[in-house]
Amino acid sequence: MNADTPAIAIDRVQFRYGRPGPRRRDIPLVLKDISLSVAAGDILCLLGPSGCGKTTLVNLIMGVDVPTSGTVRVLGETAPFRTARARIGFMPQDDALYEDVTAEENLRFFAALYGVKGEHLARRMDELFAFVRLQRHRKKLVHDYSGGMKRRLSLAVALVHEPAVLVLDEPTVGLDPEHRRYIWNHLEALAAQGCAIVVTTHVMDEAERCARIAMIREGRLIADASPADILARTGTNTLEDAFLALEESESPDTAAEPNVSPSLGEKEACHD
Amino acid sequence: MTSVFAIVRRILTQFALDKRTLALLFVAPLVVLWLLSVILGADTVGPKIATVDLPAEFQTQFGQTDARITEANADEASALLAANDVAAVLSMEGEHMLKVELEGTDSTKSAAVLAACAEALGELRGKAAEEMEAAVVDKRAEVEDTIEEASQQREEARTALTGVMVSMPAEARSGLAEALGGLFDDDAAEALSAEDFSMNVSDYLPIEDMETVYLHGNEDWRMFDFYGPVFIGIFLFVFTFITSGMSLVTERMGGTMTRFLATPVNAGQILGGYTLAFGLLACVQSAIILWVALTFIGFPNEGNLGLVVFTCVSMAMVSVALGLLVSGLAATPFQVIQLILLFVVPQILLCGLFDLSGAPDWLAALSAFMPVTYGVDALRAVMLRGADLAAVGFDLAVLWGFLALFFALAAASFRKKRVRTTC
Repeated sequence: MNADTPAIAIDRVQFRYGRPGPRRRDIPLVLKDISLSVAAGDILCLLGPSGCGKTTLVNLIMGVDVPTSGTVRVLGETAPFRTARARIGFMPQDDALYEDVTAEENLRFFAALYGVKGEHLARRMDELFAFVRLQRHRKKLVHDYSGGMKRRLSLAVALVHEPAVLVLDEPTVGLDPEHRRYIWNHLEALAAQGCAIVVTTHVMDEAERCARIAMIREGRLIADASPADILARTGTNTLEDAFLALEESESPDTAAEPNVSPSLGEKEACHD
Repeated sequence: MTSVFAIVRRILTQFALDKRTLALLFVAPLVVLWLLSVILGADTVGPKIATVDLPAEFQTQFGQTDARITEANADEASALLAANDVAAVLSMEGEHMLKVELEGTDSTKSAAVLAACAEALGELRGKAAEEMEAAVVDKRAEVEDTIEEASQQREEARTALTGVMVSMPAEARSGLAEALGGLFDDDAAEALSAEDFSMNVSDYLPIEDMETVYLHGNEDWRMFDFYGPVFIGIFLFVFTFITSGMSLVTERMGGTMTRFLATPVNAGQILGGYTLAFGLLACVQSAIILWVALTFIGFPNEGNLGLVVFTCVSMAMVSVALGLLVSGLAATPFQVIQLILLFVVPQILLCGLFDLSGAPDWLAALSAFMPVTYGVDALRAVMLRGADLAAVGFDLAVLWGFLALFFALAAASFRKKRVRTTC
């Protein structure tokens, strides 16, 4: 990968679920014509209401799904990212930890899958437990962790192999403000070292920290700019107002019925 | 009360929407019942028996029992017996001894063979007794006729003699009467009959007795001994199946699957890891189960223990692969349970727990597609008949074939099924 290739390049991507076949055309598109790119050192915030397609887009970046049309390139490769995968860090929305073993075991297991081992692993584990402030709890079963502790451990797992691309799906849900700020500071430090970071969130004030926001609504990219630019363009004071303004200008029929517009800042339970 | 109805309504709605559960609730019991009725309702068929040069009367008599008889020469018969194609071989030992060689592993079949033999022998004895009785009656009549005739002749002679003697002088008459004394007694007739009544029973009965020889086991083997290996196989298979079937679903539910898929490992490695881990568990599990079963519960084992363990582990590995395949098809633990029922119950019914020789051919054909059938067959061969690796090689090869097939299918379906979080 040379310097001017973006770490993540998404080009006119469409996506629908379901198996290939004649009836698949009837399934609505989850993502419509999305183009985005994230360079090394960038932090991109994917912002949008629940169900807008954020996680689907994340799955495409992770190579878990393959776009119906268009291309997704990560570190210059298309899915299934045979060599790039080892350089992508991923923190899924669920904690995705093995609750019945210790925090250390979790970290060691995922480290092994990424090929991190030996002395390097020991050093890395010390660093990460210090970073997520779980040194005192590293030998505890994850089952006994609080929600916030699990989130932090999950982040440590995502960072264990020092990835060049970091994808974080709702990383700060359930964290208290202090930890949230702490983690954001660290993410900015990582970006400064050249890591390309994608963060999804539906919390507007969190998005304000990002240098760049990609707003997604019903599978469509409705804005891709810095928070300041978005506020200036829409003439609003908050990102929430900006989002609603953009939404109305996008789609006149939802504007006519403001009640049906998706609520922001409220996380819908989606795993039950 | 309203709350109760609300709960009832919610549960019924959930079921109504879950087509698969609904189908399983009604279809599964019906299918199982129907299968059971086919298996158990089949006409009970008699044991298969090979006969070698039996006396014609016995052969005829034996043909009237429910046994399915093959006439063979001695070599063919022992081959059939060794291959468990017949439950017993009947041949003659000496002049009047029926030799019953039993395959011996299935005590039910052994009992059926012995019952058929006893039935035929009993009939034969009855007939022989009748025949002999008739012969005795004939003889007695004959003898009585002879005696009658003799006494008549004697009477005639005596009358004639008396006539002659009347005209003789008194001295000469008494002297002659003394000399001819035997003629006036019945002793001669009695001597004749005693000799002729001694009859040989074996002239009428071709088989007097039978002796029983067991190829495997002995008469102390109970039904349990025959089913022991089946249960070991079934339990290993089912328990391994449940644990491995749950495994991937648990990963999916816990969200770790998403993370798993994001790492550089591929489907083959994930499934390989699972198969190996569960395979090791199965090694320990089967070793312990076998140790307890053989030492404390008294299961028979005629074969190499190592081969038994290897067969068990092979079965468990197939079970793991099938479990992983099922786990890939299911989205929730509940669906896994349903699929386990679907995959396991027919295998239990058809693996050899029930004798399918009386059931329709399609059932036997169906059982040929079930891995448990081969595992159980191999376990029985080794544990009951002391078979060696060569003898169960086919069964083991089929098991490993199933393993490869299930593994490949599981790997192919693995990536297609994912967690779908749409937030």
